[in-house]
Amino acid sequence: MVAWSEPAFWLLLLPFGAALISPLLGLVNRRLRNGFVGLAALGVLALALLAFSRLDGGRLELVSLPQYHIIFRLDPLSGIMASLISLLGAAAAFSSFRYMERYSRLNQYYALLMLFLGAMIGAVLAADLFTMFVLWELMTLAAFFLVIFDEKPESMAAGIKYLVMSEAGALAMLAGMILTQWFAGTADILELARSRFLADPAIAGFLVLFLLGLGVKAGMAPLHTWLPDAHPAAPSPISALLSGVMIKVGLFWMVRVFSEMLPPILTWQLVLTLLGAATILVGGMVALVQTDIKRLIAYSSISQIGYIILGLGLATSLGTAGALYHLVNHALFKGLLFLGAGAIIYRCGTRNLEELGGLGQRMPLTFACFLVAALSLSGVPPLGGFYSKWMVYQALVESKLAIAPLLLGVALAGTALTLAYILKVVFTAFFGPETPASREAQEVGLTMAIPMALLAALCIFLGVFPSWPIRNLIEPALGRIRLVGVWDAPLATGLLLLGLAIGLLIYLVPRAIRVRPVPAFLGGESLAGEDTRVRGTEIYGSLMSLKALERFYRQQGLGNLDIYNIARGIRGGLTRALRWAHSGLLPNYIAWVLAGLILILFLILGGR
Amino acid sequence: MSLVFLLVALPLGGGFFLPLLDKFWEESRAKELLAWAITLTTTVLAFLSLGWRGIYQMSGWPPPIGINLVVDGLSAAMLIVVNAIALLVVIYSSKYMEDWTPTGKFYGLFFLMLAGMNGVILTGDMFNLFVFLEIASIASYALVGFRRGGEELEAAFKYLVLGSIGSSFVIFGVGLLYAATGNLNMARISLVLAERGGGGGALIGITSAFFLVGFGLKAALVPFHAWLPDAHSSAPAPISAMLSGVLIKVLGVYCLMRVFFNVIGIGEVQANLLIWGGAISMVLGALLAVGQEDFKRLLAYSSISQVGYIVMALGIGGSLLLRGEEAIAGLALLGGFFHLINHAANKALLFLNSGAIEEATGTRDLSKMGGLFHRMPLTGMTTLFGVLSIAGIPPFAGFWSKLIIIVAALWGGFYPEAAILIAVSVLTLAYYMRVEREAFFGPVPDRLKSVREAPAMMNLATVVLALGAIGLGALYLPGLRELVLQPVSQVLLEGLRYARMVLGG
Repeated sequence: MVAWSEPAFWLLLLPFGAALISPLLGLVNRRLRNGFVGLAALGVLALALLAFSRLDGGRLELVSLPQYHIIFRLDPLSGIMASLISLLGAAAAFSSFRYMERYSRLNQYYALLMLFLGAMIGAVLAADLFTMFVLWELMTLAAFFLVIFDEKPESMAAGIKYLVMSEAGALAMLAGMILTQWFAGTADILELARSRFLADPAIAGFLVLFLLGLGVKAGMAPLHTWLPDAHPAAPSPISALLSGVMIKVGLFWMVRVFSEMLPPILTWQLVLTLLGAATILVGGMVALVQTDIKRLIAYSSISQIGYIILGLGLATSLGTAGALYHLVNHALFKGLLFLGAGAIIYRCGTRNLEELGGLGQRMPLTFACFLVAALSLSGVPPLGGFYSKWMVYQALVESKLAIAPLLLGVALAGTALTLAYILKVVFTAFFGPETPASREAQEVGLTMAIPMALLAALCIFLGVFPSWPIRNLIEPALGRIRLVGVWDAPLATGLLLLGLAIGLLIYLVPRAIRVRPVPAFLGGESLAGEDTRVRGTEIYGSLMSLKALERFYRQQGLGNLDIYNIARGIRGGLTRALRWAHSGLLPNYIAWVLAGLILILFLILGGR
Repeated sequence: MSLVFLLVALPLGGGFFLPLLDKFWEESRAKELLAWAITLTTTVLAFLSLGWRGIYQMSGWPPPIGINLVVDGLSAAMLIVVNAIALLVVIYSSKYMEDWTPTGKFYGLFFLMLAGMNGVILTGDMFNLFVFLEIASIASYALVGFRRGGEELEAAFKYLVLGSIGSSFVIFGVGLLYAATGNLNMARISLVLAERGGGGGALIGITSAFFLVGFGLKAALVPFHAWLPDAHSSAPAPISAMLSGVLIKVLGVYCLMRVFFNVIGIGEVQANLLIWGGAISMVLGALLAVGQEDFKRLLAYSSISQVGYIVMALGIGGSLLLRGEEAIAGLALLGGFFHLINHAANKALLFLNSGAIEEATGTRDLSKMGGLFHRMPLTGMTTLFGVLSIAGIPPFAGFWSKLIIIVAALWGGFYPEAAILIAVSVLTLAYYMRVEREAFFGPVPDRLKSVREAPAMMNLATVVLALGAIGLGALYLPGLRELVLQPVSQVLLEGLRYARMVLGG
């Protein structure tokens, strides 16, 4: 069954069609191609919104060929994701027009971008596990080629790390899917959710396989290590898509698997909440000491993903709703932060925070949008991020888990860290004296500014009218949630504000105790500005020398805590041992053959 | 299908006739044309044999007395793989081998090898199988050393010594089988053993051990693999493609399949040996491939690893068959053969491309390459297809065959095996991505600025194979599945039906 007449069906196809056509147009004319890509991206967005609004809380079969394991279905949850993806996709496409001008092979770029969009939309609309897997892999592959697009060695290393880690996770997940099909007899997620085949905790154990695959993609600690490498390596519009929506596809499927299919099981609640908490802390602490603006924002993504997993792990309706809402907010403000960072990089040519400064006056619009995103990220009222974080806090307060107070403490610390690291970015890049890199900067053009302004407006809208998205997005997807008014829960609100206050202190204290810098005076000649100014990037340097954290930061900096590096180390040792064994000497090889014969004879004859 | 004997006779004739042409028309294109004609004919015959099953009696003697050629689902599918790849390799060679003086000798050896392989696939007689196996092996020893450099000769010598040890075990095994059953005809042996009912005694146990060693060596299972990386990387590229693409599969994997499923029957221990031999090969091959700087050596180690997949699938199928779970056993065997087809196409493709790259850049050292995607876009693209297919990324063909093997392993309860299958897939992706990074992506180094795309004739072969890398996945679609893959697993599942078909019972 194929629903030809539904806009959502064309939503599935349009990006792939555009991926095929745009490079052909590019052969003719560059502007024609860009125009087409822009139209296609807007078309995707329009189709997504149209399909979503026509859905009205129901379900819509788009493609249903269960005998081939091909099912696509639009429901309120996937509708949210499809809309977010197409929204950020359009933003990324428009920002690309100017941003990508300095790159070559743009025909490939736009084809990959459209392919990436199509794969992501397909991966969220897929309603059969195997359908999802194929699109998931396509998404991984498209993202890989986009990450390595500039073909610099570090981008390629980052891309390959991403591809290999994703693939390891994806294959583990594939094993999980195969077992699901075996135990439940179906791979249709709707039937899986109805069948409750996971009610037996022994069977539910194999969901670890799903957790591996989805966790890698979502950037869950300790599987997150590809993310801070890959996000900065990609062109900025792509970083916005990676952080804004691709990792959310992983989270979206966590919602599908762990809250739709899995009944509340205590072990799983503990596993997910603890992993979420660890993710919050690791991401936040490492973000604090970054000097690369995109790397910092990438670590920040990890930290925020932690909140989403934490909310999800509570397995209460409020927790899941908070997680989903934070997912929406994070997509918007993180996409915006990366686009903002892209604007800065586009104008200043550097990602290094130490070389940035005073951009607030030079790029006022970028500054304003970045600030909105930063405040929403930190959870400052009345922006979207505040409301969703508040929901997670409130869910934690209400939770009956024994470790809830601990988790609340972690959430508090996470909020403090978030404010601290994002203030560092905002103040270093936009305030302070100008640097050589930022002296020439001007505001970006319309194709880059409008997407940012739009996302910023949405961030504000979601915060000022929080009940609209709750009623119209979250509740249709997850069912009714018991909602108390925003200000009815003083404990959660108080804690969140406390976290913000601590964050402000973390930011202010090192500044206060530092000796106020005085322009150096050397024989009547004043030094260039850069050497005398306060290096905003180093304000957390003292953190790294704290006894308790020093070991963590040092090992982290060396990459010794990176699961990918650890695996590579083990693999390297085995390879060296094997290489030593392969001496190239024929007598040795003959001896192996004879040893093999003896072993086989022994096993066969000994067994009877 | 009385023409089936041509599958052996034509290449055999070509093997003797083509070297003679060197004497008369050294410069002429006649050799190439003849080579094309022969391989095209055998490929067409192979396709025609699909769906036909029966025997061809050589000289009209009925089965137990004379030697007969047998066509069934397994041999038909295998013939298609071998001859189609041979056709593409010949097309590629007509350009690649141009600068090598004795092309007649090359084609002569090539066709001897092809005749040997087709013979091994078709024959219904154990001793005859050994003869054809030796024809193919000896031709391949000579082809490995064809370039006659020091390295090549050393590799050929190692291959010769180890290969002969393998062949010796095969002939020992055939002898023991004759002693145990008084027959050399495969079908008769199978019936005699079946009448005795299971097991077969110590003699059959020893025979199976010898066959495991002999065919295992030809299939390059660890620990019998040591010859392969030298031999496959030293041979001229089209020969490497034949060796890695089809030779190890015909002399090794096909013989293991035929002997253990249709002739002497598989036991619990043998099945486990196949599973774990396959597993160790997979892991070792992959771990060694990661450390290679030589492109062709890396591909060679990768072949060890990928053949491990096929053999493990066979073992899983055999083990499930013994447990009576035919449905999943069929899935495992089907997956194994599907992977054999995919690997044949992909590895042939990659070896052919390695030859094109070696010719263009003058090196096989990955660290000296770079940015070839920009200089050789078509070769880069076809290589990428091959790499993604071997690494098992959907929607490329290699993914589907690995998927079926993993499904069979998990549904059959082989959890550690499934974990190994998955872990090796990740390793495979990692080392192939290293190839892509070092050779194809990035800026073009100065010394490669003048590199040109490979000649059209060579690209014709690789483009066809690259289309295979994405299109062969369709073999599992209902409709096509019944045509090629299902008959193979049927033949393997119903061991005794083979005997009945041959003997007309």
